Amino acid sequence: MRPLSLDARLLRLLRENPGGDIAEKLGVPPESARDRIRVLREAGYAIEDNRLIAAPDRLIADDILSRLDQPGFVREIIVFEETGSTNDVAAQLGRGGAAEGLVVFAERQTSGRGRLGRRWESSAGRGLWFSLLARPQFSMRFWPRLTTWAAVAVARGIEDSTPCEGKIKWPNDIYVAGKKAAGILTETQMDGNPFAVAGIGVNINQEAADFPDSLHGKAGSLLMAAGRPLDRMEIAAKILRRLDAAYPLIESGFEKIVAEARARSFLEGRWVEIGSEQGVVEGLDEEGGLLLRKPDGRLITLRGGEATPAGEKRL
Amino acid sequence: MKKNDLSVFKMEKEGFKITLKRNEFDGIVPAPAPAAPVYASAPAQAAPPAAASAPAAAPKEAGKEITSPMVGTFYRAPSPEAPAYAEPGTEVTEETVVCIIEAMKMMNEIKAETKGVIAEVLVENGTPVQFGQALFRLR
Repeated sequence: MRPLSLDARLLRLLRENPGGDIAEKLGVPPESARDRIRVLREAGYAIEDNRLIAAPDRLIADDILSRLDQPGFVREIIVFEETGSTNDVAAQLGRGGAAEGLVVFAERQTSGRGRLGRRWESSAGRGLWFSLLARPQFSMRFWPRLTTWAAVAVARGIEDSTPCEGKIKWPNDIYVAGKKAAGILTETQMDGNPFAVAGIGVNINQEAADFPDSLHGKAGSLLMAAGRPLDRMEIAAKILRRLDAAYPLIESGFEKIVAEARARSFLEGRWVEIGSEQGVVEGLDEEGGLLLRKPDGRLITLRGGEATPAGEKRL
Repeated sequence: MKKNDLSVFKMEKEGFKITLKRNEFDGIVPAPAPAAPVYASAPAQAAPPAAASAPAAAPKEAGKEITSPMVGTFYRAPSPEAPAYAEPGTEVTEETVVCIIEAMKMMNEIKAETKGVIAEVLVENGTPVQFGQALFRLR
């Protein structure tokens, strides 16, 4: 159980149980409550009559924590204004022995990346760029389940907090309104004190013109799908709540996560090419692998590769 | 740093639960880490599902072979241009990275976990491997 800081408790109170004697509710001297409210206002919060009117468009660790239930997977949140890559920071902290449940956010990544060493556009203040540190207690054989866990949580968190519908392009990309709006890059280190880092990027308030030409028509944002700017901190909190809730299911109850992934599949029933293989997607196996029906009728399972859908061509 | 800044307060009171600005984390943030593994040709072979669904420990080596801890795709190098992690004749220790297994877009650096010299690479680059499958033979 993580103890919430005074600011986190204050924010929760202002949001969920506003008005009245805040200091008494918090069990702190009145001058302490006044002082913290002043600091929150300086950070950009609008607070009237001990009521939260608006939060700044800026990620604040205590605010995100105040929107989570305890106990959960998430235990600590760090927010950087800028860093190279949140995955690198989380891995470095992991090597230093940091506990499971650490989440590293950055408002801006200077070298955000996806798989294949591709650059991930991480414009300042427009999306969510964060990484989770996990130390699963089950066999590494099942650690690849973390990818599906994260993908489902991102899709569901988006649905919980926006009018957008999240589709999972197996296994690690989230499509919204037909464009890639979020992605996941998971890396592990398997030695004495092994850990996994799941990096998540969500495009939220970018306009179409914010993406480089090379991504036009491919990358999208939640703003582009919803037609209006969205609350990044609320989306962050909703994704983390989904991650929290589903974490125990990775070890026991993974079929529920797989079912959620399949229900949101971007590829289900479609003809895809994956490397030298091609066929029609027929669901997911019990580990979240892609089931592909080949032209010769054989059903094969894929645990890797880049799936390219080729229209609606059927067998 | 401003006295009333939210982040400064947290740093004083809470240690970690803070908003950090650039360079305030110098003691912990590493120099830029190596680039992510790059795989030009997407692997795409059939990999049968794992046999068991209950968590089980990977079999430990008796010192003769290095085995795969999971179903995935075997890569000998961090990128197509990079030299292989381990060749026949390469001396390895417990900490030596010998390959990458990719599974569900999760990149797993596999360490030798034993001392020895690589005698043979048993799997072709970019091909699927099974849980417990021997990847390298040691001498």
